[in-house]
Amino acid sequence: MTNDEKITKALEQALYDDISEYEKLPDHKFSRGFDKKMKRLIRDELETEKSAVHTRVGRRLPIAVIVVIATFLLMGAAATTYYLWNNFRLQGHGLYTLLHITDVDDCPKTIEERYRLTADLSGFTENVICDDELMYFVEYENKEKGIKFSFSQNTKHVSIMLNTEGKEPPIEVTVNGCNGIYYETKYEDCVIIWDIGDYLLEIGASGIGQNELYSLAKFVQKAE
Amino acid sequence: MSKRSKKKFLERLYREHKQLMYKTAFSVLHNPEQAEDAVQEAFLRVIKNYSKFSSYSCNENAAYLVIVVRGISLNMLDADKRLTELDDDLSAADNVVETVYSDIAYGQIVRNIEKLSPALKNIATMLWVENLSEHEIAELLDMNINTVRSSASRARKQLKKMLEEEFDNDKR
Repeated sequence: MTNDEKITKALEQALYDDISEYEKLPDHKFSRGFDKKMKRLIRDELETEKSAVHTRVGRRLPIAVIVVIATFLLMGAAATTYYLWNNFRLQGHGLYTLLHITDVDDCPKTIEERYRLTADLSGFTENVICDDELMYFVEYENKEKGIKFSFSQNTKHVSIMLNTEGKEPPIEVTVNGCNGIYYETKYEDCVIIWDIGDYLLEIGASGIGQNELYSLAKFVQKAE
Repeated sequence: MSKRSKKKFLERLYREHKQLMYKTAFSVLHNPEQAEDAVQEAFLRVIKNYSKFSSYSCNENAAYLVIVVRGISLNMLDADKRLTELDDDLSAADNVVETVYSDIAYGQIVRNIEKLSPALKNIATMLWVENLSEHEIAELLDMNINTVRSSASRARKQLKKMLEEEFDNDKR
């Protein structure tokens, strides 16, 4: 047994010894209503697992603000529909562009395999905005260098609103050999979204250029 | 798992382990109200990671719940004294003990683990026994990830230091 294995075993033994000690304490009479409160909390937590509509916190950052499943928002003005890559369908609505991926029947409806950014992000603070079955969204910021970027993983069964007001529509690009799009937001942020088969991945940034986005994308890996 | 099955599973998990969770929290906090708060908080955090339980045995569930509620209780107890500074020398973290000594008696390791502070021992247990990632620990205990990293580094360094001292004492 290696020393590290001995440490693990010793910690495990210490844990079970502690549990034995805790179990010797007398049973507690929980305060009135505690059990009901816990049942309600369980119920409420499960209720918040909504699959119909998913909202991303509105941020100045380049990433799409709202993710809608199934129904497109109608804003009154006529939408311009156009296709880029075979399955990237975009609808321009003036203030925004709606991205919808077609042919997703074989794609998972929830996130079953996680992808993460594995680059060395020393000097960046990390803030996970959302981490659930439909979306993972994390922001990184280095205030000293004035760089802010975000990474997200989405299921393909969603529509994504792209903040393209006053900017050129998205263009086709290839990211890590996959079909993707590139666009700039009205806040001068750069965004790439690419299709890795089962999911859409997205990196958006302010303070760095398009080439740096592609460099970052190379560090996206399936999490163990 | 359907929502209904999840609900039943979580309710059963709570029923089976609430006393142990409370006793764990109380042994740290020595305050019944705070201990109940810790149980509630821990269970809420755990609900968000419920998928971990589906393959766990009952004992493993109990162990997991204990270390989570213990971590939360320790944080509640010592909120002002949380480790906040980031350890600069994280490079010394991995395999510290392995590189220094070729073979250490298991008994020595057990003795020195007991000397670790409860908070560090708990983080070490979550990392090396439960194999939770630093992100998972930070989420479960509502800690900054840098704090989790520095805690892990400190645990390794303290263990190394204690073993070195014991080794030096044995040589004399």
